[in-house]
Amino acid sequence: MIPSFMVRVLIAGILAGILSAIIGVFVVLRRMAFFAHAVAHASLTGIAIGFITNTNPFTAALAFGTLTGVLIASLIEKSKLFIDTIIGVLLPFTMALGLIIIGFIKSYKPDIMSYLFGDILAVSTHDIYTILALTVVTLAILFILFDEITLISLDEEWATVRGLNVRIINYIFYVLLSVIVVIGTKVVGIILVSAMIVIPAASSQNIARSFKETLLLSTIFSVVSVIAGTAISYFLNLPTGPAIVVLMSLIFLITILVHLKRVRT
Amino acid sequence: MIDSAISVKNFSVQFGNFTALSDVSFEINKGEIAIIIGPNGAGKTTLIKAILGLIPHNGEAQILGKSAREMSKSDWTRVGYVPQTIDLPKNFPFTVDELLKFSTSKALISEKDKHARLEQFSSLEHIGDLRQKLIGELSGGQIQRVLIARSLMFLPDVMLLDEPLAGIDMAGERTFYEFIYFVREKYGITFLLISHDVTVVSKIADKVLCLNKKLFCYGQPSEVLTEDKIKELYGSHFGVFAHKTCPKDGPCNLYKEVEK
Repeated sequence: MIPSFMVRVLIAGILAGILSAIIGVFVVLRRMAFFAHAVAHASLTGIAIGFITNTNPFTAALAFGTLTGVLIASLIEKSKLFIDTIIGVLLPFTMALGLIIIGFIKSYKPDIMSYLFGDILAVSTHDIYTILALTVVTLAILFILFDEITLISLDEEWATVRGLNVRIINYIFYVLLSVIVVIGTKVVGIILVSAMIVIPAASSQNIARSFKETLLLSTIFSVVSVIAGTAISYFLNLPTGPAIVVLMSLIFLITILVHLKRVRT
Repeated sequence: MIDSAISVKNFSVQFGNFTALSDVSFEINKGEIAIIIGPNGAGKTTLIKAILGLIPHNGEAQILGKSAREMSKSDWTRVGYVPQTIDLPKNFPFTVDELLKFSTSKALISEKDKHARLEQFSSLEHIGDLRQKLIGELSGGQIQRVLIARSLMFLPDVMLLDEPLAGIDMAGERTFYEFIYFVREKYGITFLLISHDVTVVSKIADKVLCLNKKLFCYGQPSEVLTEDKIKELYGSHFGVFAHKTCPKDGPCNLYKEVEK
């Protein structure tokens, strides 16, 4: 009999795994792997604001993380700076801000480590419902705008001269990505969430022979890593987030070896 | 009835303090082939992109009577655009077929037309055997052929091509111009394209635009493309010579860039 908390862990992990695997393919295609890192770090400030204002820290993290995502998108559009420079400024700023706000919390001090490295075992039933609702909405929007997001990621100029509202669709994409990143922090934590977004997509890119195959393999690698990583962490008493990320990295290693073998032959 | 396919009036593009284009005006009529020539950095790509609304500009540019801002999704199906290349991360697994599928997805053309045109232009542009290949595996010339076929799938009224001969060898160049002629004759498509090769312009183009930030010459090649104009445009170290490798009455017998 699987304990009920493990069922919650698996549901949250699989949902986050599917979402991050799909959006991760677009992240890799758009060459913006560090975007997830910045939004994840900003979510710490959201968590701190949640504690200090007595609101749900996860909801506050979602709000602040998404706001940061939109701010990055806006700076990409309007400033002359490269995306890595923008993230280089915003990531430490939001992280520092979060730590300062945590310092002001007088009552219960949140366990920073559990947010940084994830504590999937602490996922509540309320969190599961929130993640489930967000997954449905996010997947629905991704499904509806799938062709447009793909086309813009592939060739923004062409998308513009086809009459698509590239600007609005890009903002929607950044909001979806930010929401998925914050959901991912629940599973593997702030530090490791970008791995969940990037590694399955990068692994599938190593061996896939089409975009369709890339999406499929990315999802399979992610879900397999989440299930196996959670099981291993349960039976060997290891931290769940790191176990999932190590498995994802092993899959990446195997796929890059396959790729190198293909290139040589 | 509007005869003008592309109309540009007092058109300027500024990047900060740098003037990329200054007070450019011209008109391309329906069914014409117009070629933009000019040295590197002359603003040729900027002009095409600005006409398409991809770059902010001052002045007026209309395609088929509407500016890029005024055009609806259905208006855009009448406009084809072929960029120099496509900025896809190398080795990203995206097949040519997938590129064509997503590029025409949700466009206002029926699936039946889409399929028929894909077959037709795949064969004309010789990309049939490339369709299952990854874009990262294609040469520059092959990518150009795919991008041209992609635009033609809309059977547009106007096509703007940014250096379509980049990465194409000499034999491919002649085939390309024959192809442009064929498509213009068969479908009446108006072409505005950039070329670095002055040699072929006179035989191919109905109109030539000599550009170097401003318009140096504009009109029928036989009237405006003089040796003096070429020197003015490219500098005095360029001369105009008959092309030895082309047939006397072929499309490339008039001008050739030769460094003295």
